[in-house]
Amino acid sequence: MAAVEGGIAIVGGAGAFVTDALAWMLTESGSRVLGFYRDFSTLEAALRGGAPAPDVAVVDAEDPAAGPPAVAALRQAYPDLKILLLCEAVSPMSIGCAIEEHVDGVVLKSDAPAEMLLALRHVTEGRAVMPCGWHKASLEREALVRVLSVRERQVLDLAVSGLSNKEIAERLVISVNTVKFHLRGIYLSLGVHSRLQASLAMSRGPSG
Amino acid sequence: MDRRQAPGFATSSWRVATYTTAAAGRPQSRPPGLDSLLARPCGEVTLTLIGGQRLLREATASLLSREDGLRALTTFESVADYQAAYMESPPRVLLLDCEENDSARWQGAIGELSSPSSESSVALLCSEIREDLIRCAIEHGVGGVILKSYTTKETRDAIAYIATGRTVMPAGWQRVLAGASDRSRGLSPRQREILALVAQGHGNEEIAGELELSPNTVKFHIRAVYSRLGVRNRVEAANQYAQMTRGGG
Repeated sequence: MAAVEGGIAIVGGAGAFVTDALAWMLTESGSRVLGFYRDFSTLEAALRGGAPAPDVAVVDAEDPAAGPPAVAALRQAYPDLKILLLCEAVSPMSIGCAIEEHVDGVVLKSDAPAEMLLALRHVTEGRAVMPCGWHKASLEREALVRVLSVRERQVLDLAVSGLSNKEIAERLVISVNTVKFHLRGIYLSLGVHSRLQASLAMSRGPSG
Repeated sequence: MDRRQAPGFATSSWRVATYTTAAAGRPQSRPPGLDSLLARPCGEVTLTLIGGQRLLREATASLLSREDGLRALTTFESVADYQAAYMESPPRVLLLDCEENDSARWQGAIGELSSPSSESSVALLCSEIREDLIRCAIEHGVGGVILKSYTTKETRDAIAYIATGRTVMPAGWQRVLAGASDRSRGLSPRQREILALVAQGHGNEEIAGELELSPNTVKFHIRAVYSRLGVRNRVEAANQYAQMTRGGG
């Protein structure tokens, strides 16, 4: 199988078995892996320091340091960068992130390596790819976010990726009390009573 | 050792060796098993084209049949013809021509072709992506959108990927959804409903009758819609609505 054109940066999940294996496989197939970056700011610092700019960023969707917030930051800072999201499962959150942030591809960690390479090839050639079962997750996400404001959705995405109220407040540059206020609104809208329940509502697969 | 710096993953000597050879562009000795790991999932993909002009449809079918791993079966004028025909085994991918000027026809066709029990993935062939097309694709679980500007090889690759049950779309397909949802966000379901009726040219009395509301309630909702959309009258509201549903502007 031919190599993927262009340099690839892996964002998040560094050191985890799955990203190590991924980098090994990509390199062995002749593709250029430019490096691992813990999160968006590490990548940005490296680029400012003269590191070669990647054509594609592969982002680990479940890593709390990377995940959807890194995707949003990448999209805003580099509108032309191709982004491939690596997900555990097809969930309203991962698919919602893919649609709202104009992600170029979503690949499941359970996919075969050859599928990953095919997806990367499509993405570098200017096509977008989505995994099996994304349609239903997309409709579920739409139903969920229809009742939330943009800010509530940002807070919810961060809360679901495991950040504390304090961390959310720092990330969005708002006060902890404002975060709590938004969370109350979210719980009310989603009809749940805790961030765990909200998280389950957002990350539950289409079958759940 | 900071393994997170680019190219940073050479933490042990065997890794250094592995990556150095690969970095030279041509790995000299692959570990056993990698080739099989990277082997493309093979098997012939059967394909049927439906709709569009006959000459183009049949020419496309014979062109795609010459590609590796693709075999185009008989083509059909319409979904009804396809459903009436007896096929020993259904094609893996159905490529449906979505003519721009006849959206009612292909929307109905997509609905009929994409039953959950169907063994075939549906792919849409069109000149450009539009909001109605993408929405319809999501709603009916369509396997992908193939642009008529694609090369034969790109089309082959896209069809092969769609045949695995996954989806291929033109890059940036989300854009046609974003514009509309940003603008219509903030409208309540009732307001959207009323806006749709206003845009169709119904009067307040008619809308009130249709939705079983009082005319005053309808007026109240319409005023709220005007202020949300930043418009002053029904015509402007209807224009905004047309833009929202088209996904442009």
